Formats: sequence, structure tokens, C-alpha cells
Amino acid sequence: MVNDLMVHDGQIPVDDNHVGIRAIVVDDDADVREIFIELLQMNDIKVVANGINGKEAVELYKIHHPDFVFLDYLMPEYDGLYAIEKIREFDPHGKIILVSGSHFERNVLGDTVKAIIKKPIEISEIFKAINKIILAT
Amino acid sequence: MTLQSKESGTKSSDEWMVSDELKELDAAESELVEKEKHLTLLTNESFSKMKEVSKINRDLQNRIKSLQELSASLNRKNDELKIANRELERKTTRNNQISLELKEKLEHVTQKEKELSLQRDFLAKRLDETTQDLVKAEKFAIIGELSARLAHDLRNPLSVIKNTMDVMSAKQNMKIEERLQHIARFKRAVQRMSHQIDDVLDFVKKTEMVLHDTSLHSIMDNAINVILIPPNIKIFLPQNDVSIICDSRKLEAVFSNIILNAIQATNDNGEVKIRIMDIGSNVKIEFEDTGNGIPATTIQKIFDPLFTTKQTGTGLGLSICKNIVEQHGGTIAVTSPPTIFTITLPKNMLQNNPRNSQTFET
Repeated sequence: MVNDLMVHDGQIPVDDNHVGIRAIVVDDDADVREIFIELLQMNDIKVVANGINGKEAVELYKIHHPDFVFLDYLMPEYDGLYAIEKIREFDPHGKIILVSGSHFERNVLGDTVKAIIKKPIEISEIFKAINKIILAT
Repeated sequence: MTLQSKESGTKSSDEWMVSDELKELDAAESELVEKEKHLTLLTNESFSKMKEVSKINRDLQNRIKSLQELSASLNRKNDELKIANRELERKTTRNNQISLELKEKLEHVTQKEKELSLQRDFLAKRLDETTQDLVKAEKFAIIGELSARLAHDLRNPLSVIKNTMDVMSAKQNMKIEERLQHIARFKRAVQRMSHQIDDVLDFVKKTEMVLHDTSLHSIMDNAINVILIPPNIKIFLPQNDVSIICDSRKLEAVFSNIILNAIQATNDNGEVKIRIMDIGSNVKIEFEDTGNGIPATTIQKIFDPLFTTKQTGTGLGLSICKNIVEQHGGTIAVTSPPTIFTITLPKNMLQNNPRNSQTFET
């Protein structure tokens, strides 16, 4: 159903809460990162910056103060956990959505992140998570 | 008397007779004295004889006494000997008893030894089984981790495919350049997924060896042909060549894996030198690169399955290489810097490992 709508106009009419939000995307996999950004932009999410590891995530967060961070977990040297800790130190209300490949992060992270989205990324899941977080705050 | 009587003829016959008797008395008297003397002599003589005899007697008595003493002493000694003998007998009996006990104890010890030996064998067997179980458990743990890793690693290219599809579906009128870009993404994603699956399968299943007498140089040529060599990489192949009995397709995979690692270690800019050394019944192959070298913490784990320093690596490449080399009865080692991978292979692995002879094909 959702896919049918996407085919027609590239947008998903779940909610408009996501429109115009500013985000950063951090993932070490170039293809994953680039196509995810393109998909987000197509859906009116402004990706202000992107990075390849946890350290860059923290730096970009401090520079851009994004509404949302889309963060991968397994990255070289500085992983997602590093970014989560540092961003929360800087901004305890930082909205981090973990975009990851495996299940085990849930046990490690508890509720330090606002949502965990499993790859392959389903854009409607992203919107649902954004809506939920915005409504809760 | 007659004489006396004649002399005294003038005298009275009584006178004559008294005189004669006097004479006779004197004679008798001197005879008596004489006899007394003789007797005294005899007495003296007999006295001394007596003395002598008494002395002899005393001597004899002494001797008897001493003999008696000797006899007594002998008796005493005999008694002592008897006692000693009895003691000895007792001791002998006791010794025999102790000897018997010792024998029994020795038998006991021998039996205990046997039991211990049995127990040791049993424990050795148990240890062996436990070790095997552990190895199995470790293998299962590795396979478990492997599946988790595979699942994780497949999600990234899967995500690329899905999102690219989303974008392409949404944008119906896409420029050709953009479309090609997306198609390239599809291709990379599919390649990565196949590569990951191949690696895992190669690791999990140990296929049978197909053995031929093959030139190492030809295997290297094939290995290099499947690699896309970056323009700033120079590969120096050995001038010499050695033929060995091996599974050439498996060794090709080993060589291409190591050469690919070497190229990546130089950041696509440097040299890879390959050497073949004939060392009697073995052959040594070295791969040296001009990269920065491998850190000490990495080098320890470099052949461990699932260990990787690369973003898209499965951590199985060198582990598979090690498996293959060991299947050939060889060894693989690495030293750094400069990084040199050394593979030592027997020229004829069938000599050392006749079990593999069934798979040899001529």
C-alpha cells in the first residue's frame, strides 16, 4: 500500500511531522549513506551533514544542532555507542535514531536512543519513529 | 759272738758274754743309726716326692680347673650361640614374613599402578573427548557468530538495494547518468552479498582436494588475472618456477587473497614482490608488500576466523587461506614490517599424507 503511494508521488502520507526537519546521517558504508540521504531528501528531510564514524557524528552534532541524528552502530574506531554517549553529554535531549544491522544493540543501549530502526531501511518506519518522538516531546 | 766269746775267754764267761752283747748292741745301734739315716733320707726323698706329686696334683687340679672353666666358658658360649642362633632364626622368620609382606605390598603397588595407568588412559580419553567437544563447541560458537555477522553484513547491501529501488520507483523520469549511478549501486550491493556468502560457505565447508602436479607460476598468473590491479601497483613475479602436487584452484584462491590484501595494505600505491624458493622437499612462497606494516595487536589475530580490520571484510579470507594451506600439509606465517606472508608447502603432499592419495588425479 505504502509502496503503491510512493510509486505515484515519492511521498508517504503517514504524517507531515517529518517535513522540514534537519538531520545528520552517520554511516561508514558509502552506498548505504548516500542512497539513504537521497531518500530522506526526496521526502523533505533536510540532511545538513553526514559522517562516517562516531567521532564525526559528535563533531557534526555540535556544529549543526540537528533535529535528528540517524546513526549506524558498527563503525570503525569510534562506533555508534561512542557517539550516543558524547552527544547525550552535550545535549541530553538529543534525538538519536539508531539505524543498524543487528538486534543486539537494544540490550546494550537501553533507552539511550529514541528509536532503533533495522536495516534494510524502510522509509515508512523512519517516519513512524519521527512522529512518535515528536509527539512524545 | 764267737769272737767276743774267745776274747773274753780269760774273763768269765759272763763277762765275755756281756762284752759280746755290748759289742752286738753297739753294732746294732750303729746299724740302727745307719738305718735311721737311711730312713730319714728315704723319708726326705719320699717327702720331696710327695711334694712333687702334690705339685703335679696341684698342676693337674689347676689344669682340670682351667679345663672346667674352659668347658664352662664353652658352654656359655654355646648357650650364647644357641641364643644367637635362635635370635637369628627368629629374625629369619621375621625377614621371611617381611619379605612376604613386601611381596604382597609390591603386588598391591603393581596393581595400583595398573589401576592408575588405566585411570590415566581413561582420563586421557576423557580429555581428548572434552577437547573435541570444546573444539566442536568453539566451531558452533564461530558458526553462530558467523551467522550473526553474515546477517548483519547482508543488511547493509540489502538496505542499499531497497533504498535505491525506492528512489528509482519514486523518480520515474530519471536522467541516464543518475540511473547508471543507481545501477552501479545495485551491482556493488549484489557483489558484496555474493562475496560474503561465498566466504562463509568456503569457510564452513571443507571441500575435497583435487590434486594435480601444477606449476606455481601458472597458479600465480591465474590468481593475478582475477584481481583488478590498480594503476599505481607494481607486482613483481618470481623468475623461477616450481611444480608441486596441489589443488591449484584452492591455492589460486589463497594467492589472490594474499595479493589483494597486499595491494590494499599499500593503499593502492606501492609494490608487491612474490618469491618462490626451492628448499628440498618443500617450497617456500613469499609475498612482500611496501605497505606500512601490521600492528602487533592485529598480527596475533590475523588468521583467526571473523577477525577483520576492514569495513566490508568478513574476517574469513586469511582464515580460509590458512585452512587451505594446512589441508596441503603446509604452513602459513606472517612477519611485519615489512609485511611478508610466507607459505611453506610440501612439493609432494602425498608422501607425507597418503590418505589424500584417493583424490589424486593425473
